[in-house]
Amino acid sequence: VFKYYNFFVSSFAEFLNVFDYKVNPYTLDIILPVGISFYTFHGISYIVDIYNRRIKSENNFIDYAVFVSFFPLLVAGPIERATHLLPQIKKGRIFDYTHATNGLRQILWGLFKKIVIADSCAYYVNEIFSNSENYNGSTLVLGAVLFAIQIYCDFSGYSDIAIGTARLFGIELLRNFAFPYFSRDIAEFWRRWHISLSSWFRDYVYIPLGGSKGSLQNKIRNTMIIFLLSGLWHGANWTFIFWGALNALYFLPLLLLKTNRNALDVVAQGKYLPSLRDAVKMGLTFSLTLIAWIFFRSESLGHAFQYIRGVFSTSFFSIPDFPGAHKAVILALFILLLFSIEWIGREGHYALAKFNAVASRPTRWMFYYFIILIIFVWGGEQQQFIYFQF
Amino acid sequence: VKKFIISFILFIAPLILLSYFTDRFISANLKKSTTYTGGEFTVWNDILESHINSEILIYGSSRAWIHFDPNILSAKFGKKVYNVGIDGHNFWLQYLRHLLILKNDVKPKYIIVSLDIFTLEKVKELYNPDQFLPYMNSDPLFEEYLKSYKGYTWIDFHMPLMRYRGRSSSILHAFTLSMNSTLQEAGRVNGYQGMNKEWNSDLENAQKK
Repeated sequence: VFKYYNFFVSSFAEFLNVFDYKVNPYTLDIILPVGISFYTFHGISYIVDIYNRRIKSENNFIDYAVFVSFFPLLVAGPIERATHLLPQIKKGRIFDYTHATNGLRQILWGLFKKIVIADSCAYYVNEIFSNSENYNGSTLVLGAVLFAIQIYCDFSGYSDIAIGTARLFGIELLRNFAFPYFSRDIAEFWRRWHISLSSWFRDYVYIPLGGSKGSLQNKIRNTMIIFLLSGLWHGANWTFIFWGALNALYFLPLLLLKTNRNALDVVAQGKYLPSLRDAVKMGLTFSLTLIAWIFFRSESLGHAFQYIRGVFSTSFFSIPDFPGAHKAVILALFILLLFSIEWIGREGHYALAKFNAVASRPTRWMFYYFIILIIFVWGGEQQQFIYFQF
Repeated sequence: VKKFIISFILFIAPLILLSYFTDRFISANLKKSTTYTGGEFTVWNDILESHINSEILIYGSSRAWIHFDPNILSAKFGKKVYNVGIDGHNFWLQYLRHLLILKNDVKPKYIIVSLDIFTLEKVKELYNPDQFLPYMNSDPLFEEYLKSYKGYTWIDFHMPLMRYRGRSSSILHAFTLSMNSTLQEAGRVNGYQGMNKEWNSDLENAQKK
């Protein structure tokens, strides 16, 4: 009711309009409760896990309330499971120096991603997407690339801050991102992007529906259902549903050819650089996600198609031109720094997870001061977290 | 816990110390700018350093700043004139300048106020916010009059360096000025800056339409 009622009644009215039935639907004008998606998912997982006898029902209301509304993850996840979080809440927690410093390090990295990268990208993304009809193809490509980076840094930055904050309280939250833009195919991308949501849909929708077992028809149906649901979860707009459907279309060939579990390891494990084959695969996967992100970011399907038409035009080969282009050079340097550090740290839980083991204290502290300086001087104009709206 | 607190203090202490001195350094150099933020620093410096010292003051927005030449008025009235018009701002921050003048300078004998339809229209956004940066913790009046705008928060007025966060242009400008501040273009004189502009054809085009 809170999130989808208006969308469904308006869409139904528009559908009837096609047959010349004029309907003036009654829509609701109510405030969406903070974090409704997240505590709904927490509540569902709790009930289903009790039904499946994975956990016992919780008798302590306070413990249950903390599980459902634990403050770091209330507004944008990660989506937790009762089987994972409730035992930690019930267990006594002892302050751990290594955990706490690790948490602070992850918070710092999250702040860098959010304040320096995501908020700076937002300025260019908003300008290019709002006036997409005025820009040449190469600028539109750049706008899509910047949005891909913005949404990654905005959401994974929040997750880092949330996970780091929880760690200060002695609680380990589920991992939400695992360097998704280093994925070699779409299946790997979805194992690395918004992990807590993907695994939630896998465990509570996909597997109960039969998963990848059964007939070909069932496999296709189940895959389409989880991707469409995932799209709809993001918001009551056809653009999100189309985004989900497009990802399903990317995913289905891998599932049908049984190659969806080919890339289970970390890319170029133990090496400095990826092989040419892996680099090409990563580039192709990133390009596919870019097209999908255009639908995600656009105001309507019409806008998205107009944007894509603009990309695939002769102006694709022109030089990008947009307001503040000279300032974007500094942003490009920070993006390079971000992906360099993420590449080096890709075998850890987050980019700086193993920093403690490879660098001495003076080196680490100098690096932290450097990151704080960058956040301080080059932080973009404050933007709300994108996933707060979902 | 003890080890964590000690490490945290050891980590934070140099940052706090450094932020205090960096704040002083940036503010001191930024004040030297004659052109950045439209030359408003020159006027703020004159007000806070008691250099206004004029019998006639001109108040208003940019309409005051660019329309009233203190030299012409001085020649006409035989009294020292200063233009404290503040670009993009209306009554509230014009009044802040007035209060600061009363506090730091001799009282003027005459005040000429340039009124327009926007004079009493309060806006939420703080226009040209960087002009306040070097002075925000120099007088509590700044906080009193700026806090009603969307721009700065409590922390910006009370914590060293915090108000410079995200203001890379101002910081870089201050560092540039610290190396050489003598190569700047001429700024405002008695708050006024003459501009040599030629009439374009906009009026004729409008008349034709």
